[in-house]
Amino acid sequence: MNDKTKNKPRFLSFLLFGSIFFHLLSASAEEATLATMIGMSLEELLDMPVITASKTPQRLRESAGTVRVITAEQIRHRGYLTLEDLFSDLPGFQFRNIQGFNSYIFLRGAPNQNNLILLMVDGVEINELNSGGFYGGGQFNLENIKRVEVVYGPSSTLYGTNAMSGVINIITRDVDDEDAQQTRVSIASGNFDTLLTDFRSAHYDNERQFGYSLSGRYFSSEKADLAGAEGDNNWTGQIENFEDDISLDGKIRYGDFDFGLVFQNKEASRTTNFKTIGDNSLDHDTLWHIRFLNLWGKHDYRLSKQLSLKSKIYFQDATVDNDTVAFIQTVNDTSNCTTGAEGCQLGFYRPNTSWGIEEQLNYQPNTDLQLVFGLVYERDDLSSSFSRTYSSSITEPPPEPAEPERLDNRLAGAYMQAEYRLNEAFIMTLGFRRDDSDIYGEADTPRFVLLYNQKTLTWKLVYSEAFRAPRRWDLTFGTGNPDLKPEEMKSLETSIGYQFNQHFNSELTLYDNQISNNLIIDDIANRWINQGELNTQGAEIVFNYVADQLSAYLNYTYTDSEDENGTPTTEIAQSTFNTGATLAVNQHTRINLRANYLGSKQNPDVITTTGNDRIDSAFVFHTTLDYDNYYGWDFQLIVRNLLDEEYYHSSNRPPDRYRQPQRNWLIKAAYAF
Amino acid sequence: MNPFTLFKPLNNWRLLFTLLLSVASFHVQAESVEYRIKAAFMEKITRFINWSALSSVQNDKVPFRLCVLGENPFGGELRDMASISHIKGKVTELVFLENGNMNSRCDMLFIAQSKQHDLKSVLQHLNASPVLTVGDSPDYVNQGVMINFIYTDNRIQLEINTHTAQLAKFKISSRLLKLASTVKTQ
Repeated sequence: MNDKTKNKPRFLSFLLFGSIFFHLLSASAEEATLATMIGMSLEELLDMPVITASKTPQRLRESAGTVRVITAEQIRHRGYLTLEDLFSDLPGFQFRNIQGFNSYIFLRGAPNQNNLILLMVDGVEINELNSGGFYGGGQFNLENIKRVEVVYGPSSTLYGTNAMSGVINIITRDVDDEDAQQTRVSIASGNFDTLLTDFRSAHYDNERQFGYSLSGRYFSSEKADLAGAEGDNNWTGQIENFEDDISLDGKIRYGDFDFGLVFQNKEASRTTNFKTIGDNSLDHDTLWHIRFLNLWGKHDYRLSKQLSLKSKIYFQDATVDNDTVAFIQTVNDTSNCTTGAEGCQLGFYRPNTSWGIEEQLNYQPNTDLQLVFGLVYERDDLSSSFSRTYSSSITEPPPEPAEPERLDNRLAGAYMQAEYRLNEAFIMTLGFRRDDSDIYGEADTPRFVLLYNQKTLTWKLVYSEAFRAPRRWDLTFGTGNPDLKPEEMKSLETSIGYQFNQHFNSELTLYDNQISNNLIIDDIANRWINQGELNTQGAEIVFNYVADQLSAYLNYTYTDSEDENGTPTTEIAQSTFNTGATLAVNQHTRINLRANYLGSKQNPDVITTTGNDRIDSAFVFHTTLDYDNYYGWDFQLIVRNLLDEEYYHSSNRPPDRYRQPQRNWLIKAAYAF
Repeated sequence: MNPFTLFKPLNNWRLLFTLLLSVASFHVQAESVEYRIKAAFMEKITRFINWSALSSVQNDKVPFRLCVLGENPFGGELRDMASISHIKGKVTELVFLENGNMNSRCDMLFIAQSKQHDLKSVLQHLNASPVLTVGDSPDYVNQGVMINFIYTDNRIQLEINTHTAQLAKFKISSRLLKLASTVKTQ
């Protein structure tokens, strides 16, 4: 029996179980979600759909695509700590967490270097400039997040390159949010030498129309025990797996102008990138040091009732800093070291900056038609490659690398989107974007959405195209390949959503994604090349239940991903599901229990300790206990991997596979004043 | 791209059948959410409005009084809102002026549709006193109600009359004005 046939009965049982589970829940449904609505922003309230004629509830997803939202409440009550945690309970996400300096996030069956998802903070891109890949980890200040919006599927029509598997927008608290008008500090400590402290403060003067917010975070952890057999015999007992992050977010509002700052400094061990048992690398004293600085300004100008203009100007600095020690070799290898008898260390330096401007005109000539026109201009100043230095010692760090050659790249883009209400129920959206880059030339991305929305039922049909342009890192990696073309995706998606009552909804999404000009590493030539296709068909089914005292979710994802020859894609499991519930025991106490089922998947290489190439399935439980509002104090106990499950993620690097953290706990105390 | 390869999962008819079965097994309890949204709005908009110095809102010793004139369309939503919200940092007291008795002190007055025919006399009675008037009837904002909820494209939208608000010495945040679908200044 192959994996596909094995999965079907399990899936059907799951659906039936879900039906019964939520039927029981809805029978005991509590009244009202007024408190939730009061916690919403004005914009969110204005966006809440209702049908006045029938006075029946509608909480339907009218967005032109599949959008799933993670709220501040969920972040807190589920005990999320890192960027990858945010997506662990959503359908469609899979991970390659290599510990140390990065964690890779795959959406809808496409393994990548975090460069198929566009990650934004308050609508401003935060993907690293040279590689196009964002960084997972603890450098995002989750305490200051208002909500996270995940747009599934290609969105290049509005966002350009990288928006292939999806777009993630992290929306931080506004200066005038009522629940931000306080100063809140917290400190947390746990095993694996974990220390987390953060603060946030905001003030808005309604009369002067002036306000500011400032928040910061320090996160430090060894994350897991990876020594010897605990780490699948990839590393010795001396392994370092540290991550130290400092981040700062700020906003200023004056009248109709908004200004923002996002600063992140991430220092982490790069040891887990290599094996040290049976290999020639040292498993301590490496350092991956990367920092991000994003500055932006926005202005919304309403020219008339029908016409408004949104302006955005932004600057980004994403630099792999010059104290980075990429690896330490314990033998003299002339391919990597210039000289040295005992070994050598490699230093990296890669500064990059970029700035851009975007103008978006919104025109609504009547209630049935909404038009969006946008123009984008970006100018990058990127390192042509890493600047490298070497030391001829395993103890002496390499000297500071020199400033690398910088290359100037320009991009101009124009897009338009028209949303037309055909009748009471149907809305049609058409979009088109053209990008013109001096690296990859022109790229056109169309989009078509047909949406049916009637009372409690929503149906969507989406056809869209997207691309990922090769970045400087792709073009120069290894021996380099200046002829790389953009990866291109065509996607067809349909979804049906149903709102059973004010508490309970469900959604089924089916999609077919086809990526051509797939970028893969040619091991022999040691460079990226365009080769073949990656075709993925998948289904996601979601159940959500939200009431005042109890909220619960259950989602299942089926992913069938293969290349043009029908060979299954490695690192992608066919079946995953997530479930969890948060119960408000009383006005002070909440308890959350959640679980992730990670299906079995194929590893790129044979695993030495098992003798095969399968990553086994795993069921991982987490729990969080909150005790809030005790004379201004909030307390939290977070336990992850509650049952101490031994489980692994796949590897596309020298280590055979990546052991994931053992049971780990954190105690947190916060005070608001 | 071969279109017949699209939606391969649809071939699994059992999946769809099971989904439909699960949909049918639920009893649809459609309840009104419109006035829950409006109740949330009532609380929310007070954060973007400064009452005049003459208003009792400036007196920390008295509660915030939210009055409803006419037939209460909110069901229990306003009462729930008042019980969980501290408007302007104060305990919120809900008063129903069902008999049209306008002599009670109000900081915010919701004028129900059932009082549409009396609107002119109600507004004349208030005569620029520091009471934030709110309604949800067509043309209310043109007749002088400061904040009016209207229904457009399946959503609640805001209409604001800044002229009458200024007469009563209210200061309305530019952010609220920016989100309003209509701002009447004269």
